Amino acid sequence: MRLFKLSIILGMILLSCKREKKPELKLLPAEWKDGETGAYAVIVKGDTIGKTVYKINYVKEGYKIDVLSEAESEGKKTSDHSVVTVEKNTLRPLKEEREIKTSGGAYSVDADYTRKSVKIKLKTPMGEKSTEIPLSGNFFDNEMVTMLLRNIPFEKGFSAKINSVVPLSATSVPIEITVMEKEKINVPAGEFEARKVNLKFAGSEVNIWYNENPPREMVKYEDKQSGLLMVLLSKKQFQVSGEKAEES
Amino acid sequence: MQSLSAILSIFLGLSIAFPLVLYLIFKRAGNLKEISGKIWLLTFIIAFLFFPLFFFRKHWERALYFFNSNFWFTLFVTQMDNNFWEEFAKLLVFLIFLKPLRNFLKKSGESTLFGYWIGLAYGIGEAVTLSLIALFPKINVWGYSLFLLFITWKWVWERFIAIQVHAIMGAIIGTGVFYWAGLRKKFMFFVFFIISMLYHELVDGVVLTMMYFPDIKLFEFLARNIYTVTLPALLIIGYIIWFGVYKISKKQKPLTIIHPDLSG
Repeated sequence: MRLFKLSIILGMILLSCKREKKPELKLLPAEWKDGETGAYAVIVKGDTIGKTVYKINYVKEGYKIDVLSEAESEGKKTSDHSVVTVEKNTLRPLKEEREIKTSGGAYSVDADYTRKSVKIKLKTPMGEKSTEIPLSGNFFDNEMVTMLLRNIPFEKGFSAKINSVVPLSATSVPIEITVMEKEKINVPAGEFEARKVNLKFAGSEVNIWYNENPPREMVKYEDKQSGLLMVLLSKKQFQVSGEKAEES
Repeated sequence: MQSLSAILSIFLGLSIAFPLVLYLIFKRAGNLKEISGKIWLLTFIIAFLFFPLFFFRKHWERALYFFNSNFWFTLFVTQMDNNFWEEFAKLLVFLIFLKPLRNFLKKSGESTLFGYWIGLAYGIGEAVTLSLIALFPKINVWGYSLFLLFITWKWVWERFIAIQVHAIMGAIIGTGVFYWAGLRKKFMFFVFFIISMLYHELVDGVVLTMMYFPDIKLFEFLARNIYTVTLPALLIIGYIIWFGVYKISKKQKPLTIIHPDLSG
């Protein structure tokens, strides 16, 4: 009986340690354009609560992805501004700078990536902290993942596993990515022939639809569990340097 | 704001002064004064160490959460797994010290108070371990990250309540041990063990529900007033459950000859 119990415990440990071998993430040359910008409406359970605007710029190191999300719910304003610097050839993260402003105070995070680890500095209203966490496998910064997926092969059934690093909580979350079928998607920006990409992480599931054609912009983002929806506001917002992005 | 005074309150106030005061009170209760200081200290140290030692379960609880983070699965599978191991750790201390404690288990009062002591030490083990992980974020225990946790006075207050919640669970298990070892009523022992697990489920379940359903007015209120209303209310409920359990056990007449046989 004791042996039986022991084998169950050992089995549970081994099962939780089992690592499923997933193929390396194949990335195509980046579809990102210098000066590109886009805006999305942020909708939670049917109510539009804010907007997310992103910009991509070419810099010496590679690319800079700037994402600003602003929301207001029950009179409380929040903003989340992140800038991720990405290496040109590998699209690996080099640096994340993030500032979050809530009614409870301001948080700022600075993360410096190397090939094997990330050094994180956190400032919060409660104090400051720093740490370094080891990294392995296909790791990317969490704030760049939706942009990164524009550069995967849009072949139905393609799947890969990446580790999404969240410097704010000093954690790394494995994400399983699966490319699904093409779908016609209607958003305020119009109708798109879009490629559905499914993400599974931490017991949650998110679906993202990308324009099938270049520049493969994100058209729609849906997290059914939290009721969060993001939809592209206008095609005109996908512009390059020199043209003024439409404000919505 | 994280402060030295809050850190000292965790490591000196809650971990040393608080149990010392309770020890001085408990050792005056009934036959408990006959328990040697060595047994009080050893049970405290072992129950304290059982929190970090049983922390390995977080490895598969994390895997369970990653497998399914649905509210009901988290509440009734992942959380229940946590409850079982935490209650089992407290019971194990009783089992280790069954022989020297045998004579003190013939009265429900002594057994339940000693259970409170064991639960208290386990809760202090939790407070110290989590505070150390928060203070030294490079400590990586089964992927358990407390990077956003700072040792503030709110944390001290939360731990002060959590320690007592664990102590109440230990006291209920102690009552169950009295039924098994003192009255030879194994079934009732399991009933008390499950009551302890269910009280644990109530406390953590309320917090989980607040996290999953922040838009529901009641849970929004409970989240907003977690330190002033929610946690103190859950603690009071715990003391009421313990009082009820103790009153029931007091009515039982213990056997004259005690043969604690917990082996099978």
